[in-house]
Amino acid sequence: MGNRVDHVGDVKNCLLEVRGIKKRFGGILALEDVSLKLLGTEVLALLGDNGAGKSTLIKVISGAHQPDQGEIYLWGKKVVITNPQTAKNLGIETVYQDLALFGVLDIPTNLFMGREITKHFGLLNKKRMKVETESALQNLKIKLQSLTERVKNLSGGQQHAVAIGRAVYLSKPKIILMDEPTAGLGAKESEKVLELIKELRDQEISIILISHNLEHVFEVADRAVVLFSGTVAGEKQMKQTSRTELVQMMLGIV
Amino acid sequence: MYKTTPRAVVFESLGILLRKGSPALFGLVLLASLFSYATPYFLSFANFLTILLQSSILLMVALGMNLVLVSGGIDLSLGALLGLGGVITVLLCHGGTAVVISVIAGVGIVSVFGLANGLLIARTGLPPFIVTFGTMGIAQSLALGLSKGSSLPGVPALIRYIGEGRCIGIPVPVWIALGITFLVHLLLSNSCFGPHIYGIGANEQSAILSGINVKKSKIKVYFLAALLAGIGGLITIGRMNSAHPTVGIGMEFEAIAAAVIGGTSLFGGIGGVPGTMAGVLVIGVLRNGLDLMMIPGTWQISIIGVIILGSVSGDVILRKR
Repeated sequence: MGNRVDHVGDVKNCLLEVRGIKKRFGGILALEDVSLKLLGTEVLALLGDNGAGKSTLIKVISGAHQPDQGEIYLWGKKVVITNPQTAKNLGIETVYQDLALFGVLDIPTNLFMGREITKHFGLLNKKRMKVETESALQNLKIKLQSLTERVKNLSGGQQHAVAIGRAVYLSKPKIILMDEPTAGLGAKESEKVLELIKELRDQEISIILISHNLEHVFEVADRAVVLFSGTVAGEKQMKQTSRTELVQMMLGIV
Repeated sequence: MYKTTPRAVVFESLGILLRKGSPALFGLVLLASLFSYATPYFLSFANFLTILLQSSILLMVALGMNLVLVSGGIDLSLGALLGLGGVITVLLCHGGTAVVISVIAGVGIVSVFGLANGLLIARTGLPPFIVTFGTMGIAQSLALGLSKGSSLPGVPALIRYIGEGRCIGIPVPVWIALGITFLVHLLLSNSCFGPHIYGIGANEQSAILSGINVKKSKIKVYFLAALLAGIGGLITIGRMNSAHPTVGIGMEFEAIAAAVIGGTSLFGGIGGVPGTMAGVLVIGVLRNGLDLMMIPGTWQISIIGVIILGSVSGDVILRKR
């Protein structure tokens, strides 16, 4: 409970805090003592060069990796995230870099994987899942001939949208972690994703965003935390920084 | 956006049929017409029932194999387990144990083998091919050792009824097969377990990230496959009025063939119960028709081999598309 006293000023607004996270893979120290805070309703950009530890940190928060050391606090309360399901139950959803879709399965199955809607006797409520899929796709502005289409046959942008839709529309998350949500997308499709991020913030969902594209970061993020080889190199309000400064931090020059 | 006119429904169902089971259905119709033309004994209700009866045991194994394949695995031990279950049940009966307990023991021990398969595969991450190859050897030698390598003739009336009795004119094994097929279909298409094992087979890493308990689901899959093989073994001893330790040898491959002919993918994530049923019937009709045409069993195997090659390459080609 000491932490509450330490951060009296922040507690009200601090949604998620990670403290002293350390993660080692064999001989490689991916994260050494990383701490950061995600405030209520903000888009926090997580920047850093390849191998800086961004994805590892995201995976620690989403429950895909267990940290060797360190703690995670949600609303000032310590939480232990042992697996992806725990994170989801805490209201933390993730859009992974490789999207983590099921290529040979159809869209409803992809969207509802692990949280299927059932009726009596545990039977699947396929009708409701279909209806909810349709409304999620409408929200995402995706038009498809048939819901039974295999996800691998969709375009890259549509696959991104399905992955994001899974995180956003089928539960009511408080936090969404996005690992390179615009990677590999065309200008038009990227713009759609950025619009969606803004929309989510308007709905009071906080986002941690990993992106290599500083233009996108400047467009949507409120704040940036820069990682450099497993440590926090710095933290900046987007309005008070420049591209050059961030790049220098990413390269470890500052 | 999604019109649901009757026409659209018809087209959509046709599309699903075409993608999901049609090669097997098409093959079935083709074979049936061919045999009806070639031999006068093929096209009769009695022979139709015979085909269903002959197919019911393979269907048990194939349904389990389909579950395993959908989850991205393979189970080579199912044939040996089918034989072992029969040997245990008959030995216990001969030793004076009550029939029901002997049956439960036979099917139960086989299911424990399945549990062991699942535990080993889920916990150690060893390839299913290796693990089930190992249990196949153990089960096979156990069946041979317990029976001293020879067949054990004579089973109690209750088990004979399960294997060759009739109920409302339909053989009991056909009833059992229908009931179990329905249950497995319910499990695969209408319960949460279904999407989970499709997900594991389609992309195991994504399944983990989706919060699915992959290990538990895998254990269930191998357990169920063995349980079904055990039931197949029970029907087998009833039909043959004896237990043969080697009766199931090679049946796992026939089951894989049936599933693949029915549209199940060897790469996981694809496959259904209706398709598997059609695949089993293709093999059943083929064996029955070739028997009626007096083509010896030795040659039947190579014909089935050709059909397996055809459907597996079909699977691979469709995957690339």
